Amino acid sequence: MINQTQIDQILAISMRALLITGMVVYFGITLIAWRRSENMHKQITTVTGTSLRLLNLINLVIAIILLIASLILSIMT
Amino acid sequence: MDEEIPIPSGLMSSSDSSMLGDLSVAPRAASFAGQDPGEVVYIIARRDIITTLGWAVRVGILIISPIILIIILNNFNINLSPIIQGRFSVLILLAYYAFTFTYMVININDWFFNVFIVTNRRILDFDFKPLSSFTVAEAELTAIQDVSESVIGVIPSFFDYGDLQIQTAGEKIKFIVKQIPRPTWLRNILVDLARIAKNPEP
Repeated sequence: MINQTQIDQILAISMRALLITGMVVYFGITLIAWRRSENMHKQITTVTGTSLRLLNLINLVIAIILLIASLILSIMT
Repeated sequence: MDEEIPIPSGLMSSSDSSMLGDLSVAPRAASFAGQDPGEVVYIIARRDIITTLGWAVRVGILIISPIILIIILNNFNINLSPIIQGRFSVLILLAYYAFTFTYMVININDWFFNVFIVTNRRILDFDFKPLSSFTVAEAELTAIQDVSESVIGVIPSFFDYGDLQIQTAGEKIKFIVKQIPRPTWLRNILVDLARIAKNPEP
């Protein structure tokens, strides 16, 4: 029989695996969104478009930081 | 950069623009790929800002959901610490909010890059899907044959937005510009511009 401690361990490992998978998917989506917005900025250039470009870049940087943080945390713990 | 945009007198002015960015008349420093020398952008129109309300509400719900969840867990004395360790719970929360932020950015991109452009020579319809496709259709102003407008429903009538169907003489028979603000005004402008383009005054 599996005791409570083992159930907790399995759940903790599953949560980590889920988090890493989620972060990789999230990073992929963010990367595509950033790349496509850069392409669109070449198609249509406006003053507001420059701010949106910056917003997409910030979004990508956040995704990179979170991906690295989740990988480090998973390895360390 | 700050030079005035030459517009046929009395037809429209920059004061016709919407403050919310869904309709820009004579926008300064606006350009697009394939713009010809001497071609001037008269109008940039996007879906009416009210159509973004759906995802804006969803973002709001996503922002407050974890707070509600934490309150519920505390009230019922549910402890998640055996499953989620302290550092991981912070990371999960950060990832959740980052994902919400990405969802918002993607929706802003979707709204911002779906544009309808009117220049002194042609009309261009940019159809952009943030994670998949992108198409551009264009037609000369002289090819515009008929412009029809449809405002269907209580909300579009109340907020004054609707669809424009532009019939052209080219291979692409119809342009359908959806949920555009002030459709009557835009229809009138397009018909006038087409008439001017077909019969330029000496």
